[in-house]
Amino acid sequence: MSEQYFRISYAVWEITLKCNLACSHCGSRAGQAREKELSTGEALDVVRQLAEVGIKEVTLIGGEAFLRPDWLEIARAITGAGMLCTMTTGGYGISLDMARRMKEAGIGVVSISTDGMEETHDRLRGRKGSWKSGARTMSYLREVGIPFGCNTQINRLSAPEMPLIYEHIRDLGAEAWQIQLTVPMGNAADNADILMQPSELLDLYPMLARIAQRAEREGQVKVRAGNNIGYYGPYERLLRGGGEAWGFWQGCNAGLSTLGLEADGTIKGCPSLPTAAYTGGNIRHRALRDIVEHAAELRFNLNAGTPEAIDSLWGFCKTCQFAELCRGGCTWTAHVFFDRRGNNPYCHHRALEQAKRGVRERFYPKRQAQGLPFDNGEFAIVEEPLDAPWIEHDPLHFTSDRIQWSESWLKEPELAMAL
Amino acid sequence: MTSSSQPSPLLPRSGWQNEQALLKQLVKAKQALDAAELTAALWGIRRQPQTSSHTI
Repeated sequence: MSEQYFRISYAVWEITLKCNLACSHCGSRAGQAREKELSTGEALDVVRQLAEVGIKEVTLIGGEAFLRPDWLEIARAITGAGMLCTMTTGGYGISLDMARRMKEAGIGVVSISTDGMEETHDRLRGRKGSWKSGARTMSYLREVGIPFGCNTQINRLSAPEMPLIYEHIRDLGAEAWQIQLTVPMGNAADNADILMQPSELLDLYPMLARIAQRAEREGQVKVRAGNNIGYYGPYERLLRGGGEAWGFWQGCNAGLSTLGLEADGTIKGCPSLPTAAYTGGNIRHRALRDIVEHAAELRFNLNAGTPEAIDSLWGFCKTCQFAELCRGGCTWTAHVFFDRRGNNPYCHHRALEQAKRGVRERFYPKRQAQGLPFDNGEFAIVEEPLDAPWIEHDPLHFTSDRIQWSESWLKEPELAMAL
Repeated sequence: MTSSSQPSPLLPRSGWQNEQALLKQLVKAKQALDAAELTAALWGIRRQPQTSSHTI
């Protein structure tokens, strides 16, 4: 992965919903292929259209992308059209031979999902042996010369293991690590007990910052904050911008520099957005250019800096000093909590401000999700005194004393001093 | 010479129609982050990571 590479415009393409894992946090509830997934001919036409609208990088995902028989043909077409082809995979079942064919097809970078150390990862991914298989995949990629990184869902099961995960993927040769909070979409909406509570972010972020600081010092793994990490707390620039002065959250990019495609041709402004509320159209019925240019579902971020943009905010986010720039953080995250965007409970700045007032926030399920891919239910949020006893029967409650630091971390300087 | 039949790309596009307004917000956020980091450095934030309690 070149250090000079800057992502300009990016499409994430679910080429099949078929999957060989059964993740308890899977937003798309992957497993079986969708009923009417695009044919090879249709997929190749999508590649042409992606290049035409200005996409420079395409990430193939699933389900599990390699379970689609023509996936390397699609990858070759992407590369042939002048776009960077990357892939995100669970890494379960990739052989050395397949890694070689991936290299030949021009796949430039791979991200392997790593959601914990062995027991936690296998539990979250619903399959024993998936952690070991992921590690093998990394060794194969290394052997054939495909640069790779890892991506990790942060939730109450994986959070305590983040320092160990860092060391694990570093030792396997990962060059990047994308971290993202698990949010209540799809299967994760049905397993809300694994989700971080907003006040738990107060213990989470110092840990993440400490890891990022070490990664920066060691110089191999680039920590990349996903769209729902941050925002505007004291570690924002360390986590998102590698310490750069202007490296902080500047609003949701759905439909601006990002597109999401589902395997049946559904087009959204971001792959994670709920299908029901954010589908701009289907490639089978409408040209991609037309959808990008005219569909309201892909244009909602085009009003930044206007009164309309502020009007779409509510709750804490409407009152926030960063409201105009932030616009409620990650649209996906806000929407899946409250079935409406504009108020984001997963914000470090918000948790810190609430703590200053002696308040903590806690959400609880109000309405179940329907059980469809990329669906969401609805949560309610309550404010409680910061020092009130934690609710009973919550065995996964995350606190800093649950974090598993190996001995190697004792040498890492205290964070506040480093800031 | 460029081909006139090639449609111009639509992406990436900015959400901001007013560049000045965006710059104002960026500067405001940067200043707030400068202050937040300074405060954290001087006083420490509310809690520090506990490195000793669960070392394995």
